[in-house]
Amino acid sequence: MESRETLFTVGPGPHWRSKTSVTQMNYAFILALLPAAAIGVIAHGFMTDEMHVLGRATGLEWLLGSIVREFGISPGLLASIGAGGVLAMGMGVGVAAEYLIQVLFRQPYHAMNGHGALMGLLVAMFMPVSVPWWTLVIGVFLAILIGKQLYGGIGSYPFHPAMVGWLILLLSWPHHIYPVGMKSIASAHFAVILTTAAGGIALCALGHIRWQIPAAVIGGVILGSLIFGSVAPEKLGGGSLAEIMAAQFISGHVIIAAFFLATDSTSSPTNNLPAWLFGICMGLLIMLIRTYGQWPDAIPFAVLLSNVLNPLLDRIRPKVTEVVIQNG
Amino acid sequence: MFDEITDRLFGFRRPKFPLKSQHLAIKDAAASSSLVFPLFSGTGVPYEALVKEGDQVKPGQFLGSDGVKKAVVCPVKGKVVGVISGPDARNHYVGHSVAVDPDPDSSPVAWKPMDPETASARELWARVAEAGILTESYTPRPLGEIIGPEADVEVETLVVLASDREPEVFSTSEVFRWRSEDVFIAAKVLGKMAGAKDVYVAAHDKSAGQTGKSAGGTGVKVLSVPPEYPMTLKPMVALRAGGGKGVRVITAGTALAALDAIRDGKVQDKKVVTFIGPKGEAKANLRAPIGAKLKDLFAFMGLKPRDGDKVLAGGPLRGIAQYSLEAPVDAGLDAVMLIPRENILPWSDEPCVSCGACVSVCPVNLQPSLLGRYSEFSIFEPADDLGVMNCVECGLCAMVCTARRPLVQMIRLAKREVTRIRNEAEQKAKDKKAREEAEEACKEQNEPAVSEASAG
Repeated sequence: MESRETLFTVGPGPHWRSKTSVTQMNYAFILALLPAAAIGVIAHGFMTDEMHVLGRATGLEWLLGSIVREFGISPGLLASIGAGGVLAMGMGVGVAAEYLIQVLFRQPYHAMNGHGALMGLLVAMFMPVSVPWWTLVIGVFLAILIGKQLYGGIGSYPFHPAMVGWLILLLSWPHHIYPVGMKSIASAHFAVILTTAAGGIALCALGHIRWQIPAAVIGGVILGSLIFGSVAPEKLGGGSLAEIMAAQFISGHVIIAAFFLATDSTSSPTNNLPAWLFGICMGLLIMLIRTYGQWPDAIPFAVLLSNVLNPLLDRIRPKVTEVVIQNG
Repeated sequence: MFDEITDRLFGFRRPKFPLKSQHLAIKDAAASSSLVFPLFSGTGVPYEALVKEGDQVKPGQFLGSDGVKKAVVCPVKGKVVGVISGPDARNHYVGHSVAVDPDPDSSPVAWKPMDPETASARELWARVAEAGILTESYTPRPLGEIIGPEADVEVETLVVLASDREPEVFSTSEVFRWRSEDVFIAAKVLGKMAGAKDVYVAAHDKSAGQTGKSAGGTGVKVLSVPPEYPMTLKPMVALRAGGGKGVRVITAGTALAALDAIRDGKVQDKKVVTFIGPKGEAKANLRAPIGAKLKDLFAFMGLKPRDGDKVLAGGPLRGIAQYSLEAPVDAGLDAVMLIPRENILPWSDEPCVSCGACVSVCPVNLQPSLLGRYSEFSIFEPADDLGVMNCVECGLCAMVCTARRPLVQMIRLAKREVTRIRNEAEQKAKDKKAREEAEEACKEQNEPAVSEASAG
């Protein structure tokens, strides 16, 4: 006896679909960045001479000093713990800020889709280990609030949120973000930069980012170092052109910017020729600002200025193939 | 080589969607209950029933009419058991179906055989119209309206597509393997009927040996299509054959049905459909009676869909999800597919993240991400400017979408609205012109009166 008809699922095609999702994309970014973060944390263990800066910046020199003395913790271990703490705090604050804003704005909850955590991690990667905790909290929170949610969230923001957060901190408390003699976690050691590049290449291979954009950024930096290295070599530290070029990559944030900032899906172009132009433009801007700018790092300015160009560049579209659709 | 290099440089994440060629024997499937013939046109216009319960029907008899033209050919001899309300395989639901109990001795021969060599184009066309041959498509239309002396456009190039249009569908290629010589004869005959200058049979490179052997003496050329998914859809094949309004593409199944009607006087009573099983692979090619319900095919395959499963009339990318297994097999159908509920991914209304995956896969270089957004917010003019009417609805954009947006549905909405807006604008221009002409005429009539009045 048939009690009732079977109820089928209906919906529009296509019915075969790829299983990617926004969540998967964000977690892929985080996973690709985590090895670099881990190397950064380990690298801090070998930089004990920065301990005094760490203490001075946080205002807890005496406390840290006494912890090191009383408990026999090596200063290197303490610095490593500090770096890990900064990264964990960035990610945690990112998720918390997303959740809080979504509650306040009465939005559906997407806090666990990994985007907040990714933005928090990216802001934290650009911080030195000595950054005061409240600076980091303000930076990540404003990155999520001003950089992302006020524009309408993922898919709508014109600027990279992490860069917005970083820039606010850089302009407000430059002495905390660039304390004398300290580097950020992302540029702490050459090994970190190498691991970042490996993670980025893995992302390209998995198809989560377009390899064209990092290639174009790196190409733009090479082009820029050739141009500005010939025009004003003394402002880039001097040396031969090859030395100047190499110096751009083995220190600073060019690699992480090329693979993890420029390739952000929302604030980068969708078409391929614009993607090349966008990357080259970003690379040239990095070199221009590094040569003539007054700030210690050019990355946030270059990324945000290229993001401004993105909607304009994306008007370059391939020609649509004219097709006659036969009826029947 | 150059194309390969530019593609590598400027294309990203372009999924290769190869069409396998697979030999899948054709099995005869029988209907267990009465046959059902929905009274709908391919676009969903309902017809009036010309028969009533208890009537005897014979092959070649029309069952419905839209008031002007008769439609829906009955392929069997039998008795009408009812004019019922029932679905068709395209989810049109306002209308009726004719249920016919076929006689066991029913034969598909309905007319006198013709010699296609000596018959004139108009005679051939009259037979095709009489036989009510429908095109194999998601919106089937009578073949006589597409090609022939009374077609809506003058056909310059006729392409008979002998390759399957979607992955895991093997019905057309199997029919071509089975009757490849007939396909070339049919192409020649229909080319004559259409008055086409160029007649092609479009097939994959791999079946070139087969085509070369069969083409001999017919004067039909072979058009090679790459065995990749969107390249075998009708608009893309038309593009390969030169493009433009004068190119018509019909499938080998349609061409063979027309040839059978002309040469043997047979009405089309069977359709080969590929049955795609729950694992997403073709299980069998079924030669099913037209009018057999989908539940008969499932019973034949020994499968019972559960609650929440998806049943498609059509292939995995463009198939139409069914709400009932009562829908019958018709001439437009090329596959039936079952997707288990575990494998169904829900669509999402999350915003586009501009990752660009859809842009990279579009076969006609559209911007599906932008079109989806425009459609979502009912802004249709810019969508028209971006060329939304060129969309071939292959579904690759929605397939790769990171945010899982139903892009094809959105683009279909935009296409429909753009058509409506264009028609309205055309109508407005026509009205305006008519009004101006009327005013002009009015003025001419009134002028003498005015001059008289002023004179007076």
